[in-house]
Amino acid sequence: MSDKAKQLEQMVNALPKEIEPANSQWSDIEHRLTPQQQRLSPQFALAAVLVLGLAIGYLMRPLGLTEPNAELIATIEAIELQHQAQVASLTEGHHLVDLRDNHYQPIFNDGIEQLRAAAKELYNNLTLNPTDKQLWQMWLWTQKREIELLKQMQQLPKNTVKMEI
Amino acid sequence: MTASLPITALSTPNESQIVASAKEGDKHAFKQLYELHHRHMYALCLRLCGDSQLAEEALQDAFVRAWQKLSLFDGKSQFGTWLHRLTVNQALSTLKKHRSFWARFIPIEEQFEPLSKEIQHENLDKLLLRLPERTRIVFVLFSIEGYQHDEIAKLLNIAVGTSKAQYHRAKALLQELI
Repeated sequence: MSDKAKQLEQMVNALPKEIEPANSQWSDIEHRLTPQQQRLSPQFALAAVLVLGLAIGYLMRPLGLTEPNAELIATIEAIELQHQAQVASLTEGHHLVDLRDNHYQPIFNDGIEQLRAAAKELYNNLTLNPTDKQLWQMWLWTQKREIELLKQMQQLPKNTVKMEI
Repeated sequence: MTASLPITALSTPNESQIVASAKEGDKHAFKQLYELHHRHMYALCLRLCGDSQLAEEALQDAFVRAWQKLSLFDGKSQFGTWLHRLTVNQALSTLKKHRSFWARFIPIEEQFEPLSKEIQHENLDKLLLRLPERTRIVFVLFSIEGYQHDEIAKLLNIAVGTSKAQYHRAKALLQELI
């Protein structure tokens, strides 16, 4: 075994088995031990299920053949309102997103802004073409991604140091 | 898996009782388990992730997952061994999640790289940060945490030979850096 190989072996053996994190992680962990479903109000969950059911009902039938577009547009508006309510619940209810001093936040915010811009454009197009299945899929996907990103933001570690990229 | 356990875990005679309480939903008991093991798990996460912020995220995710999966712990192995494996999986998952997240929003050349200046540890820990990610992970698991190459190959979804090659590459690179 060469000198450097021996030295490396010694360095491995000398490594500390335990390292204390700079910030205590227990409070964040404890907060997350309660399932998020339990933190949402039952009324909110019920409303979500009703609107989702309505949306699926419309999507499963042959679009534009039997129902006037006005009803589809009303559904689109209802889904949009429901989505906005969910976003408000995530951003205002927990007071987490804007309060976090985290270097990832600008990246998340950029991503969310891009999604919202795309969703707005899709929404406008969808109200003009409410039977376009591809528009429906893309629009619902942007909403889903926005909710996922907001949830990811809430799971970021708190009090992180700003990092130069 | 022959991963070493923290001294604190080995010297705690009633850990099984604490685990039993935690399995019944006692958060205070689970906090005791956290106090016993979090330093070792953080060291593991830090070396696998190569970044303190990612390591903190992985540590949080690992303990949350441990709480959720605690009912599946059958007591046949030590709790520390079970938690160790769960933490390795979680740290790898956290790394993967961040790679895919950044890839969605930022050009590849601008994606996050671990910052060695953030890490205050000396000696080998500093050198580990200079290894390519996959090479570092294999070295940490094999040389520091005591995993076998077949176990590493399963974890990383690579061939056993690839794991061995990465390990030898890590050793060669580290010896150059010493």
